[in-house]
Formats: sequence, C-alpha cells, structure tokens
Amino acid sequence: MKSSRIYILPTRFGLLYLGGSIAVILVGAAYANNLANMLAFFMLSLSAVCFIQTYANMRDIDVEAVETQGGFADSEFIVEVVLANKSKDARFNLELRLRGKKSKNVYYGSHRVSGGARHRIKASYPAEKRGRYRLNEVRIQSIFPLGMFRAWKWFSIETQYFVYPKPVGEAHVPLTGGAGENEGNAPIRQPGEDFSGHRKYETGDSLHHVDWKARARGRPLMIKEFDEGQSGSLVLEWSMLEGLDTEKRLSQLSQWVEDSRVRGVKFGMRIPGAKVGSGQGLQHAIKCWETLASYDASRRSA
Amino acid sequence: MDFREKPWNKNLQMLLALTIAFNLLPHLFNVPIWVSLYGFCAVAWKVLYLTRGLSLPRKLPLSIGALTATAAVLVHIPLPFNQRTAAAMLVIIATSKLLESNRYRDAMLAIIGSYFLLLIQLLNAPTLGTTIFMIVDLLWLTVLMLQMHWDDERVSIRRILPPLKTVLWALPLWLLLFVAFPRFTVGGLKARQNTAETGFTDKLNPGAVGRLVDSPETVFRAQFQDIEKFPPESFYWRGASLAFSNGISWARGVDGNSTRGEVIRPGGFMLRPFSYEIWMEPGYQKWLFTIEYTGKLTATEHEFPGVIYKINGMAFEASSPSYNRFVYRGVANWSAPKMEMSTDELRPYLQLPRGIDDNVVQLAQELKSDGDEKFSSMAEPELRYNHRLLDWFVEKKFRYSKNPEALASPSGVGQLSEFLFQKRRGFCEHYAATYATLMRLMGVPARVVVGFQGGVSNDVGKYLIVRKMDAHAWAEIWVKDGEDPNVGRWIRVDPTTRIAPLRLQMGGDFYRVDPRELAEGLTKDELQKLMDTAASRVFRRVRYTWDLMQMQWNMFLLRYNLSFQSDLLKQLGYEGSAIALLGAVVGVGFLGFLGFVTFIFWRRSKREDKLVLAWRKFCARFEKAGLRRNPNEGPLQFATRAAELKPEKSAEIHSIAFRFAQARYGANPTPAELRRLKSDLRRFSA
Repeated sequence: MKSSRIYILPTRFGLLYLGGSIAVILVGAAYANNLANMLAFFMLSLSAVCFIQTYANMRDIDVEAVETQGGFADSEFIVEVVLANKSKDARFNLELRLRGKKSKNVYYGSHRVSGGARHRIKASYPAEKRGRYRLNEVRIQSIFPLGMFRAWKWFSIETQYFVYPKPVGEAHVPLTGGAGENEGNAPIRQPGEDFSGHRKYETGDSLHHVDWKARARGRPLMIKEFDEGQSGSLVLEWSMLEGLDTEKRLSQLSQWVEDSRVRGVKFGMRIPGAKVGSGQGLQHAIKCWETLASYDASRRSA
Repeated sequence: MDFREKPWNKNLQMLLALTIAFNLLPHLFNVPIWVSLYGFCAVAWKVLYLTRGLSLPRKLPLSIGALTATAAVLVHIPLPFNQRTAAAMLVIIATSKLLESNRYRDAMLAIIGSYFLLLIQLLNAPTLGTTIFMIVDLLWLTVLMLQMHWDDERVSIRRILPPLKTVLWALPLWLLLFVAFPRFTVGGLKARQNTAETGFTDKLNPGAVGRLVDSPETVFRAQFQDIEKFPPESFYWRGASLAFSNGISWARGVDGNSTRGEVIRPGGFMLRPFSYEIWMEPGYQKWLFTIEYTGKLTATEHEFPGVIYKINGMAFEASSPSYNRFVYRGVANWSAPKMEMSTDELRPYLQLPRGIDDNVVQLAQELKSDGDEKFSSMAEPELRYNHRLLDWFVEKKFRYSKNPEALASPSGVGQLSEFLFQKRRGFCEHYAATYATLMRLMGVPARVVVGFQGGVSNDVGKYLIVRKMDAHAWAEIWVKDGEDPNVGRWIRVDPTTRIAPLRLQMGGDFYRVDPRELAEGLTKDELQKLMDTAASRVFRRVRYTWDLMQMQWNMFLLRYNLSFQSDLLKQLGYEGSAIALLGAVVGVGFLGFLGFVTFIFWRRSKREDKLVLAWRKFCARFEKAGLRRNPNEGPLQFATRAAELKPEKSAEIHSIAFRFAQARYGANPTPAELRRLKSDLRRFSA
C-alpha cells in the first residue's frame, strides 16, 4: 500500500495538559514562584518530547493487506488488516479506524509490533443496510506514549465488503414430495433441466429423488440423476417468492441459503440478473449472499 | 470499543488511586480536616473496591456527596478565593472522579487534578523538601501516564525505564526553558500566598509573645562576620517599638509612623559599624527585623520587592507586604547612637494611661525618692530609677512564667495593679510593659520594643537561625547625654536580665528546658549539657546541613528572576529588552530541539529504507529484459520469474531473493549479513 504522510494533533487530554501548563506559568508569574515555573517547564518539555515520540511511533508503518468478511444487516462485518512495521524498532498501540465507523465489540488495537514484524488487527463494525460497499481507506493511529498527541496515517486500499440481507422468513426451505408436482406456490425444489439417467438406489438417498413412476412400472428402486449440478440439488428461485416485496424476497432467500448451508445440501440460486451454480458449504453460501447483497433493483430483468 | 473505553485492569486502577493519595498527602494540613477525611475515605473505598470487591457508590449519591462537600468548603473558608479553597476543591474533585468510574476520561481528569494539587503545594511551601517531592511526583505521574497508554494488561516494574527515558529526553529542553525563559511578572495579582499567622501585630497584649514561643518555626536567618562567635545574649532583633501605654497592653501609637524625628547626631555611632544580611522567610508581612542598633537598611531589586521605610523607634518597614522570601542588608553598631529629640518628639514617650491606680502612682513616687537616695552616686537620675525599679522586682520575688494565670481585671490599668501587687508572675511582655509604664510615672521617657532575642547558630552554614520561640519584648529609656535634655540615647533595659537571666543566655532554647531542672538553679552550661546528648548532636548536625541546603536552594530560586536575567544579558553586552531576547531564544531553542530530534529519528529509519531501495534497484535491472515486478509481488515469487528469464543466474537470484526475504520478513540480520546483501544487490548485473 502506498504509504502516506503522518498527521499529528493534540488529543483532548493533550490540550488540557498544554492549557494547564500555561496556567501554571501564569500562576508562577503572579506569585513570583520559581518552583511553579519549573513545573510548567517540565510540562512543556514533556509535551514536546511526547510530540516527537508519538510522531516517530507512526514512522514506517504500512498496511499490507486488508481482508473483509461480510455480515448480515443489523449485525456486523469484519475488517482484518495486516499491519507491517518496516522499521527496526518496535511500534506500540496502533489502532485501526475506518472513516465514520465505530467498531463494535472486538478490540482493534495492537500492543506491540516488533521491528520488521507483522500483525493482524481484526475489528468488527456494525452493518446496517444490505449492499455492497467499497472500502477506500483505512486509518492507523496511535496516542502512544503519553496520550497527549494523536498521530495517524491514511492508507488507500481498494476493497469492498458486503452486508447480506438479514435472514428473515420461513426458517426452512419447504420441500415437497414427488417430482413433477407443481402447485400454485411452486415448490422450491425443482427437477433439473436435463435428465441424465438412473442409478441404483442406495441406503441414505433421499426418497424424494426416487423415480416412483418407474418403480410403479415394476423397475427396481432407482434415483433420478440430472446433470450440470442440478441433480439432486435445490435451486432457490426469485420467482418462487411472488407477492413479496424486493427486500423481503432477498431476506427470505438469505434465510434459505443459511438453512441449506446448515443442512449440507447442494444448492444453487437464481435471481434477476444473477445466477449461482450448485455448490455447498460456507464459501458457496457466502457467494450466494454476496449476490443477494449486490442485487440492484434498477437492473431488473426478465 | 477501544482500550480507552474498556474498564482497565485492577493494577492500573490501584496505581492511579495511590498516585492521588500521594498527591493528597502534603495537603492534609492545609485543608479543613473533613476535606482530608473525605479524600482519604474516597481513596480507601476505591482500594477496597479493587481488593475486596466492595461496590462503588452510585452516581447520584456520589454527586450529591461531592456537591455538598464543595458547598461546605465555600461556606467554611472565607473569601477571597485562595489556596486553601482551591486545594480543598481539588481534593474533592479528584477523589470523587476516582470513585466515579474506571473510565479513561475520568483517569485523565484525575491526573490533571494531581498536577494542580502539586502546584498548590509549591505555592504553599516553596522549600527544598517540596522540590524533592515535586521531582518524585512528576516521575511517578509520567510513569502512570505511560502505563495507561501502554494498553496492555501488565503493570510491571520494568515499565519504569521507558518513562525515565522520556523524561531524560525532556531535560535539555527543560534546562533551556529554565535558563532562558523570561521571568515576567503579572502585575495586579497580589493574592495572599501564605495564610500563616505571624503573631506580630501592632499591639502588645499579655500573652502575645507567649503564644509565639511555642513554635520552632524559622522566622529569618542572619549572617555577619564571625557571627558564630557571639553568645546568644548579644543578639537583640528589633521588630518595632510601641509608644502608647495602656498599662499592661501597649500599642504602636506614634511609633507606627515614618520617621521625622530621631535624628542621629554626627558621630552618633561610636564604634566601627558592621554589616549583616538577613534572609526573611515568607509570611511576616511588612515587618523587617534588624539587629540592635541598625542605622541603615538596603536591598537589591533581585531580592526584595518594594521599598524600605524608616519608622519611628529606630525600626524599619517594607512598603508592601511580601509573601515571598526576601533578602536585605543592614549596617549596625553595637552601641546605642547618640540622638537628638525635641521636647515635642519626646512627649509621646511620657504618655500615661488614664485611670492609673493610686497605689501604682504611689509606688512610683516611692521608688523615685528611694532611687535618688540609694543610688545617689549615679549622675543620671534615669539610671538611678532604673536600678531601683529592677531591684524592686527582685525584692518582691517576681517570677518569670510562660503561662501565668490570666489577669482578671478588665482594664489595662487594672491589670497593671493586679500584676504589680498581686500576681507578680509574668512573662517578658508583662515586665517590659510594666517597667516602661513605671518609668514614665517616674518622669523618664520610655517605650517597649518587640522583636526577637537570641537565635541558634548553624555552625555548618555559619549563620544564625532566629525562630518564633526567640520572640521577646523589652524596654528602652531615654537617657540624657550631658546637660541638654534633647540629646541622649535610647538605652535598652531588659527586665528579663534580672528576673530570668538564663533566658537571655540560652535564647529561645530556654523554653525547651524541663521546668524541674530550671528550678534546681543549674547554670547555663550544665543545662546545655543535659539537653545535649550525642544523638541530639548528630541530629542537630543533620538538621543544620539540611537547613543550609534549603537556604541556598531558596536563595537561588529567589534570585533567579527577571532583573537577574537582565543583568546577565547586560554583562554579555546586550542592552535591549530582556523579555524580547529571551522570548526569541526560547522560541528558537524549542524549534531547534524539535528539529534536531526529528532529524535523528529520520536518519535512523533512512538506513532501513536503503535495503528496500537496493532491492528495488535490483528488480529494476530486469526491466530491460522485459520483466517487471508487481508492486505487491513477494521477493520469492519475483525471483522465480526472474530465474526463468535468466536461468544462468538462477542460483544467485534465488540466493539474493531469499536473503532479502529473510531480512525483511524474518529474523533481523546481523550487520555483516546486511552489508553483504546490500553489496550483492548492488553489484548484480542482469
């Protein structure tokens, strides 16, 4: 990351301290008391040295990587930053700040980063509305050692984070029995486009995937397979949620993604303007959520 | 939430509580007792909370408690707002903040409060001891401030070193400020610095001196050549004389006025004069004590605020009360000067109180005629009467007592009779007052003098320390010199010489002697031996050395002011405004210091960047061959790509890249390794 300039300003305590030292000088002058003067000189000298130390503590600090982890709306998202100390001496009490956001309950500083070492800072922030957000810059600051001055550096990064739609609605993906049943509220589960053949039924296979018709004709128990990842998998369809408004649909889909993930089922997703192929597990779920988060109502397609 | 909003760990809170307690200590006796109690209870509560889990008071009761205490302070201590009020309020605020919560914000306020408590202590007692306290306190506070921002759960002893380093860095700047910062004064702020009661007022009432005598507090220090060789009875220190008699009580009367009369005749001082110096402690208002018999006082601008006035009664006064230490010099003569006083000027010294009892008048007449008879050999009648009166005191077995029974009579003249005929027990002020009144009755101009007698010699520093317990009152009579009644001298008569000679021989230490031993009639040397054990001698030596160091430190602090700085500059050849030049020096010095230290830090980190620069140059050499390093590409990745391009140099490339990666991301290389790597980087040719 491109390293930027170091900015430094007094903190509230620093202003109080400097103001206090001026008050002490005036008192010393009023009472002609040299001891009060000595106290004031000490306070001023200490401030000056603190200024330099706080400034120096920010030197050669670099942000090498930024990773984000999305979260649900009204919950939190995580930003993880890799701080590098490119000097030989240790740096202390570096804090991460995002512009305009206050971190929630994860502590986001670092005690000490040795010379030449790296340190990960992980912070969580409150997530508000769902969407895809750009993260353009992060700030690293410190008030080490005495709290009188705050020094900081901005780092421009190009990254983004997602706030997924809050999972709301029916907790479980409704499944219907039997293939080919098509009711008014269409079941989410849909047989795939391309029938690719049968395989023998094995214990543990879902009874929903059995070709009953064939069985009725006297064939043995067989599982219908479909190709292109649609075989035996769910497809979460936008069109299934007729009658709900956009956000509610997104929230419901989000909930169903979570449900599917938890149950370990393969699932795919189709919404206007985007499609996610079949997959399973957390990463796949995240991909779906990101797609949901990015849904832009103005780009509605058929 | 960052560390500033977390409640911190217990050790840090304990450290803060102890810091505040430490800063409270010097104020224990400056503030009303219940404020001290409030403060310590608050600290104790906090400690109990930290160690035993006692729960903290809730916000509302705590606020009410603090507000009540503050209101009580403002009611109890009279205006104007002064140190006592400020200290009391700070104590309440700081300790309440301590109890309020564990948050960073409150801790920082408590720390600022501690600084101000320290400041108030510096004003109350600007001594060497306070200086040492300040040094310890500032170090402690710096350690605490660092601990709080170190943001780590551990609070250990090793953490003392970094704040000490910070303080050491601050010292050169501090020195610059101390030497060069112009000591300007803010006019018009004549607030009271010291609320100590001096005990010296314009009146002398029975018991006034007796009250002072309990305190070993130093009033002033005096020095002149060979001072340590003189016995205590030689030293009489005049404060002021009192001209108006109320019988036993006396008031200043005309002796409060600036001198118009009392002309000292040419040749009035017979013996060779000697000069001496006095260093006054703060708090004695306008009083300037002088050794008998001082003709002249001077002082320098450095060391003395205001102007010195001569007042009637051969005394001196400052133009305005000073609450700081100051120094002045005098020229004196051991013998009383011959003076001229007109009849009008002498009249006030014959004033008699109204309503004197007849038996007192009769006594005076008897003594007068008796004196004329018994001491007919003496030429001066004043001396005849003087001797007769003193003999009479001894005949009637008058006793010297620090705390005699109070005189019952309501009026001054009544008390006079009571003392002379009934009680016959009193202190120096009783004797001086009655003596002078009786002498006036006998037609001799007389007055009372209050001041000090004696003092204790600091043989380490070769100066005399005069304490409150040396306070004394004596009398003076006007004795004619020759035929002219308006030419004569004011001769000192100290009735205590006859009644309690030990008092003069031992100075104020007389009051330290056990009354039983006094009754045994031991001599001064024997008594001295009793008081003087080996331990007390060692202790005394330590005390005197400390006193000397204190005194020198105080003088240094006193003298280092703007006129001193101006003089210093004049010596260096600069005649202009001291403030302007010094202000410029301070400004330039400050910025220069900042620049200097920043330069040092800059240089250090530059060395580290040289390695990265060398690496970048190394990578750039491959550009000609068409290989460009991505900004975020790691060294090993790049090395692989570079080696593909130049397989003949593969081993070298990989070695360099590996070592570079080690140097940057792994263990710190030794200086030799670093040098080799840098040179390899530079010398590599694609």
